[in-house]
Amino acid sequence: QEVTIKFSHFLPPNSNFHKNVAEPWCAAIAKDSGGKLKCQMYPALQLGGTPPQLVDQVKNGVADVVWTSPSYSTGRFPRTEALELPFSLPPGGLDGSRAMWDYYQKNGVEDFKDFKVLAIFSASNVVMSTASKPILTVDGFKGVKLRSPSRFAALFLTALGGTPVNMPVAQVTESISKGVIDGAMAPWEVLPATKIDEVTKYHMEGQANQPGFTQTPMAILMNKAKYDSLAPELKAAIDKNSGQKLVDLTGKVWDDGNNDARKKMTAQGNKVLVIKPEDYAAMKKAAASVEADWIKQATAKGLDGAKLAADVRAIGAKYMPK
Amino acid sequence: MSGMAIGLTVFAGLLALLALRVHVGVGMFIGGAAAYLAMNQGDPNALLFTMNHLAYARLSNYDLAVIPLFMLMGQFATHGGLSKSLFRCAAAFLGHFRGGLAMAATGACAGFGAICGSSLATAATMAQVALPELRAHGYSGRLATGTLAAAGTLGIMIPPSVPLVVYAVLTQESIGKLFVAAVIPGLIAMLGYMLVIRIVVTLDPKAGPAGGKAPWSERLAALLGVLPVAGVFVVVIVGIYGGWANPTEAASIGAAACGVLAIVNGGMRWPGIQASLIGTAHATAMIFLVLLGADLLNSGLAVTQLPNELATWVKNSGLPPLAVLVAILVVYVLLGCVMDSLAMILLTIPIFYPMVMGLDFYGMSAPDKSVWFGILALMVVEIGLVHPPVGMNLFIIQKLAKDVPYLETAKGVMPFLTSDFIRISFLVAFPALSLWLVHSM
Amino acid sequence: MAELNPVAEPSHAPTPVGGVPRWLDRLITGWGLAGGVLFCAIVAMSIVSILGRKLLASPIQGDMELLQMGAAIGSAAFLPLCELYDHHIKVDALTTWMSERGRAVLDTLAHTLLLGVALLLTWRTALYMLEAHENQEVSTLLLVPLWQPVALLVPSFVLLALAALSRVNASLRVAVKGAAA
Ligand code: NA
Ligand code: NA
Repeated sequence: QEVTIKFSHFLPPNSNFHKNVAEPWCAAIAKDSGGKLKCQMYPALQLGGTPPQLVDQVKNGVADVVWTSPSYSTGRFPRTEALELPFSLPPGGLDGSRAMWDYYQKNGVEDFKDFKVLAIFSASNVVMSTASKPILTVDGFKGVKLRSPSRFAALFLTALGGTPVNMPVAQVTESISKGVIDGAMAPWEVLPATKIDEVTKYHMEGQANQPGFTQTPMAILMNKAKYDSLAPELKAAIDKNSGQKLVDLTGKVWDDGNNDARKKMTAQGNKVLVIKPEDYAAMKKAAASVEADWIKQATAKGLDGAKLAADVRAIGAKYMPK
Repeated sequence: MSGMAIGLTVFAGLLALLALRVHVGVGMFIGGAAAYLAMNQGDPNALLFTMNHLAYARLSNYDLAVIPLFMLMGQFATHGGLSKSLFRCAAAFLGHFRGGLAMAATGACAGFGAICGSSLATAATMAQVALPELRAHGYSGRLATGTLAAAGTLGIMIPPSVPLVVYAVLTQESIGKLFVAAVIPGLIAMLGYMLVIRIVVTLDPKAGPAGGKAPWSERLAALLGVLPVAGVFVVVIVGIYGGWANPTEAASIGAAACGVLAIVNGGMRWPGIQASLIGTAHATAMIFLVLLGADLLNSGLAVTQLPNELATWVKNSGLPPLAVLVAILVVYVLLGCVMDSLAMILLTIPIFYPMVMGLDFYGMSAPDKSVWFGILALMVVEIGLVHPPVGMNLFIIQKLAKDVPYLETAKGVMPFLTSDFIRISFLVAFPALSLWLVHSM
Repeated sequence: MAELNPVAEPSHAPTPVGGVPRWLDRLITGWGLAGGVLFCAIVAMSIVSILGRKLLASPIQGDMELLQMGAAIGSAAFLPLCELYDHHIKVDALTTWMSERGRAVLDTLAHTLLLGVALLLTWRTALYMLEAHENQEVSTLLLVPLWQPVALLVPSFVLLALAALSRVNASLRVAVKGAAA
């Protein structure tokens, strides 16, 4: 019989994710199930709640599939947090996503035991964008107020002497243009989508073959009972389009989105600045305390924090572009 | 039943419940719950789990937190006597013209509206100060009450404005942008009301006799009295546009400024503070119960796909976009006969917004259209506050002006309603009136 | 009238409806006042944070989280007070032609439904609290356990239910006796 999959996420229908990941995925499962699986999309949180609650929506069966980030629910996915450690994973979408998927399979399965995991991937490295003054050295962080998108971005900024500011993403552009804050940390792709590119001039990142500042893991999750209730051939249609295949798809979509954003911004006169290796090394050194603190916290929760952190680095190194 | 049919049934049932005196928030809650149950063939699981985070998600919304903060600011301003100094100052400069005191009340309402986000509070506060003066100076009951009921709506038309905050949250629009967009239409509204007063007293000079001319010493003293209000205004404006704060924080700055002013300048003490907090509690709670119900209703309707399908249908129907827009505005005026302005926004924006966004108006970009429609919706729900039979502002003024019959107040407000309709036609025809300031910021 | 303006009526009547026990009125009023005081604290916190950010480049860490938690707890605390004094928004233009008794019958129904909603919210919010506790979810920067602010909503919904119950009782009396008690 026909099965409808309720697919819920937090971005509008014209977003990169909706058009280039969600819709193609739905088309693929429909095709591979001979039309028996079809999606009902609920973009822009139409099912209510806030982004952190998507994970409960799918756990409780309010939605069947969601796209969310484990990092929205601090504390709930303790092993997965390691993926956000500063300077640990490759900056690219595809490389970062493959690294995250490897790490998940090795260390993260326990975190997601209540879910059927379809993909864990990377929203790619965050760049620092500022309106009037580039940040190229550790000293450059002093007194600079940046909107930070996650806990680890905030910890990273604090460790380097900057000031993380927390505010809803919808207010960031206005706040930068009025000088409430000096800039923001966000992946490339987010900048034009939120018009941050119009109010900032300088965009700082590391070398392409160096780990990024920090990156946010993303997850596409399915309700476990819903998956288990499917007939074998429908399960097969889901399986065929999930896991490594979906991870690679999202990674590529993110890389494309980032490249387009970068091109658009360079063309309109925004300055992309690559931090010099010696300054980058100094930043990395200054941010080391973030990892040490995290290991302590993870250990206090009964996890082997040191090993998890080491694993992230090892897997990151494996996927680092030469 | 199809999702669309379920959605329409729920909506009809909801309107019936509301007509039967069920609280607006509760009716919406029940409507949302019914939609969930019907769409899940009676399985309550999705509904119950949606309710788990409903309250915390809604109440902890960063943007919505400005509502209680605005309420607090308005309450402090009221209990600190800011309304009195505003009216006194405007009266010192305008009182000697025919109809001048009524114009002064209008100007004072606009000034108070700049620090108060609610129309009812503006009408009630200014009426307490201005009504006795207007009557003492021989103004007709009709003009006095009509002026205050209409000018009270400047409380939401001049930013800050609670309905705009709610619109912003529902449509993920920027609060700051909407506030900026409301400035010029708000000022036009004020000038329009003053013009109406001018015309009324020209036709009937006895309605608003001219008073004595205030000497410059008195005007100067009145100006000094209004300085604190101007001070708060500057603090809030500098707070927002001088790069100190985002809108939520600016509301905190305004509340603090009004609180300090009320205590230092207005002599407010614990009883006054207590009354301010209780007033804030009532005004906030009224809004938030509706917000909670609307949350469930909106996700329930989304499950039925009614808003999407209606929007698609309208888009493909080939109806001229302006005709659709006018029809929407007429629905608001009709709903305004019986409903509260905020309840109207919460009930209808999820349905109307996708329709408007799917149509082409003057080739406007999507962000422009979204701001423009927000201001139009604000202007038209504001009308609901003053048009009979049920206009909240009319009732409030009625309570305060015991010597003026309701029918007189209702008649008095008619000329002002005319100016409202003319202004809205202008805003429909010339989107630049709302968008120009947004673009030049 | 659907909406009474608290500004227009600064006097806070000692007994909101006939037959409400004094302790309940005091409790609900005190709880609402506490919510108001909480908002004053939020205002103070925001001012300190804004000044710190602007002048010293050091805002209060987690100011946004604190504001969100505080605003949730504070606004929930306002709900019972508003119900006890019957200020929640309703449409009553269409029933003005009815007798007082007829309207009281409808109001009994309305407040009973509100009571039902309050009980549902009490139940589900309490469940959410347990869920958040079990999932060990914490706030992003200050690591405040999420279950704590959620737990502080529960008493507000319990009081909302009690306020609704008093209203049901009051309307029912008018409906039965046919006159205001
Ligand atoms: Na206002
Ligand atoms: Na009306």
